[in-house]
Amino acid sequence: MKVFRWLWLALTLALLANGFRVAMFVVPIDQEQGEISRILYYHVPSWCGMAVFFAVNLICSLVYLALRNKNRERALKADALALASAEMGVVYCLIGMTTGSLWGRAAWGIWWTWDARLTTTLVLWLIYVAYLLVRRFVTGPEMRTLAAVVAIFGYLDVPIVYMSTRWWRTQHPAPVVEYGRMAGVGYFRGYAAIRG
Amino acid sequence: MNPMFHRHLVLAYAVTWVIHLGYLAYVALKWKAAGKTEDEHS
Repeated sequence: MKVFRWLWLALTLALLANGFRVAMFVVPIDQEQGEISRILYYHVPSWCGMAVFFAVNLICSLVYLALRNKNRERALKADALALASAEMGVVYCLIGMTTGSLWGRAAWGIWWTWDARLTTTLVLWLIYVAYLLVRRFVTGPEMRTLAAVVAIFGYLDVPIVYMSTRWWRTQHPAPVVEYGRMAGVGYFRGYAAIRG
Repeated sequence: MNPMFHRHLVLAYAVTWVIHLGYLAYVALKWKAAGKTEDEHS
């Protein structure tokens, strides 16, 4: 198990280093944005990572609530995974907000604006920080149950963040691949069609 | 080259790496603490 941990650390550092190399030296500069376009190579994947980890957190919280009285060992494993994924989600959310702010100052001339995308994202980050604080400071046997419930309610903000640039007019750029009021929902419908 | 763009690019990459490595260090400390607890119990 210890070897696996060191391998995991080495793989993480190698991937981070390679990502840095590709973003800085392989990809050409964007014609319109110039150098600051390279910020997006960390900014956008951070949101993808955050979405994945918060989804894992939701699933694990549901599993914990479903199994807590039936299979204690599995429920505790799910709870541990929920905690780890929430930490990772908060880390990626923080990276996304910081890099976005630095990009925004250069591209828009402002560090921050209270538009729908940025505000809902800040609220999302605060919800999951609150989740981690609940886990840290609440004592007693019901702490895990309470945390799971907070996680489930907290996840409600994730689709709002995702759809915010489609539902409201925002300073944040609109999607360039899937745009329109209900864009992006098609992915879920398409996935459902593939699954039959 | 716009000096502000360059400064912000460097800052964004530095912040990202600091947060990444900071979190890795936090996880490493947690593992170390968990290992010590395991050793004490065994």
